[in-house]
Amino acid sequence: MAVQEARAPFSLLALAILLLMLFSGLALLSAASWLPGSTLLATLADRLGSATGVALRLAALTGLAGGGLMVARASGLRPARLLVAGWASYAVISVLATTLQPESPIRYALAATEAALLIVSVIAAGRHSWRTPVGLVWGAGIGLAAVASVATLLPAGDPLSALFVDRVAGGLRDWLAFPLAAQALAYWLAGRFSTVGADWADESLLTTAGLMALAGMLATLSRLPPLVVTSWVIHAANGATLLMPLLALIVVAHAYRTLANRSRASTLAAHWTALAWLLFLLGFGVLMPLTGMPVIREWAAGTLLDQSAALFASLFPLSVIPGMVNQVAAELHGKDGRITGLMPFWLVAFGWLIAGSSLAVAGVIQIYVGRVLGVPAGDVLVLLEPVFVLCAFGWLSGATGVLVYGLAFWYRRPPVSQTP
Amino acid sequence: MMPGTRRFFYCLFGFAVLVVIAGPVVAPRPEAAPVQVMQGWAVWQQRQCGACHGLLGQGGGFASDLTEFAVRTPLPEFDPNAAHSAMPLPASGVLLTDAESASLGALLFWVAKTDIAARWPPEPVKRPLAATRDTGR
Ligand code: HEC
Repeated sequence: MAVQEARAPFSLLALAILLLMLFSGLALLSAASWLPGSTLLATLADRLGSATGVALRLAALTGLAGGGLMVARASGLRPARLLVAGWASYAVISVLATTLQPESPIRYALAATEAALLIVSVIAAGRHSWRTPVGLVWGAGIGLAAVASVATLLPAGDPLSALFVDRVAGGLRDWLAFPLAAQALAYWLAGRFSTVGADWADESLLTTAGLMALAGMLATLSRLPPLVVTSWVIHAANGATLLMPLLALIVVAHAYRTLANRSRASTLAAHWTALAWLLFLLGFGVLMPLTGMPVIREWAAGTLLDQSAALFASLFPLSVIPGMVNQVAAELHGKDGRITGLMPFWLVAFGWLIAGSSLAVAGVIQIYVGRVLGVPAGDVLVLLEPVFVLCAFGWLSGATGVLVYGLAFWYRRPPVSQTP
Repeated sequence: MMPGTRRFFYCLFGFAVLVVIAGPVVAPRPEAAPVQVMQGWAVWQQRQCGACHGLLGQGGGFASDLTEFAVRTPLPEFDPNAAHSAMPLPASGVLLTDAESASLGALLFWVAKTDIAARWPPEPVKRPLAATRDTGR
């Protein structure tokens, strides 16, 4: 890969690592704000919670877009450079905007900018990239993310419709668009870390991406109750409970084949991708179908169990990005080797799994103690304190891992910024 | 590569996106809410109540879902500042103004009157446990 050519997409990937660090830090602070005795942080719990969500979305968007542009070698083109500049300013403004009151004009401008950046990315990737399955699936995902950004702008005349639009736009983005783009990048990486044939990989990507789209649709539908409980939504949600684990298993079985047939490549791309697929299995194969089942959803809606399902589903695309960065950085160095080492990987993997599972445990306690037995929510929060400590510990491990990753990456960054 | 695989992806992807997007299009549009309710909704979003509280089963997770809150609390007594007296809240410790409280009240009362609030969340199951304790005595 020519170094010069990779400059623009590589900058986006580097920006994604910065945003990943921001997300990890905010997630840690946000979890700490629920610990007993954290008076100062507790006053910021609301802001921290929403800023964490914004950082997560920005990191995923930037990393997935940058990864796809890198794959497409969309390159020294001037639009690509402009794109990076636009993207960086957009990210900074979005992060800053979370500290302001979210006035609607700013919100509209930001959503429109996001959609524009995504569409420009798809165009910058070039028409030829659509001919490859990786380019096609990535383009479909990123294009859909643009649609989702615009959909959040749909006007709503009442709070019910507003929540509904939010749910649908969020589903399109988090459960359809991002997973597809991430899967495309994961398969591009598989082309490096696995010995599976290119033909098989192409077919496998298109097959699994189709099944993932179906799973994303079912996830979105099954999360509409109790907002919408028409009979077809209930049937779809019941179907989702049966189908989603099956779909996830098929996807993971394909993925397993790429992981079981490893090439000699020694970058850590395979590790990060394996983590991504594990998170996918937990999110889309276990927690989503479980909490989406109408009889359970009646009790689980709006609890931390529900949040943990969504969290696993969002961490899946996120963990492909460090793998992508590892691989690309090694290739730009022109030698096969680890860039960031195993320590950050294990810290992040354990941290995220612990944080997500402790939220799920907290959710189960909320359901039985709060909803079933009717103990007041404030008392349940006190009961949950030990679980929140565990959760904060998980985010601490994750944030440490991402920090070490960022530092190691900076130390071994490839010479893209030097003109040859 | 088999040409059929590409078609398989197009079909599933198209189907999934269509179904999700069809949702908002075919969903029945409720009547527009009164102005004060929408003001309350704006305050709800600005003050990030949804970061902790669920509403109509969406979001939240940390504190109670407020869908049915107004069923239990008469309007004159609604005071989110007082509800938060035990902790430095809401929203970054800044107290809500009277106008904000009033519009939030209107929002929660509007929510409590929706069909959803009539059937959700389910009632807590307190009886069986109380019964066992009684026989134990
Ligand atoms: C940082 C989290 C957080 C934020 C943000 C927050 N709350 Fe609360 N709220 C709580 C907690 C915790 C309780 C006590 C436990 C419970 O009842 O849910 C509570 C209790 C309440 C109650 C009493 C509930 C009951 O059943 O007695 C009301 C009403 C309320 N909050 C309204 C609001 C409003 C309106 C906002 C937005 C301006 C808001 N809250 C923002 C955490 C929060």
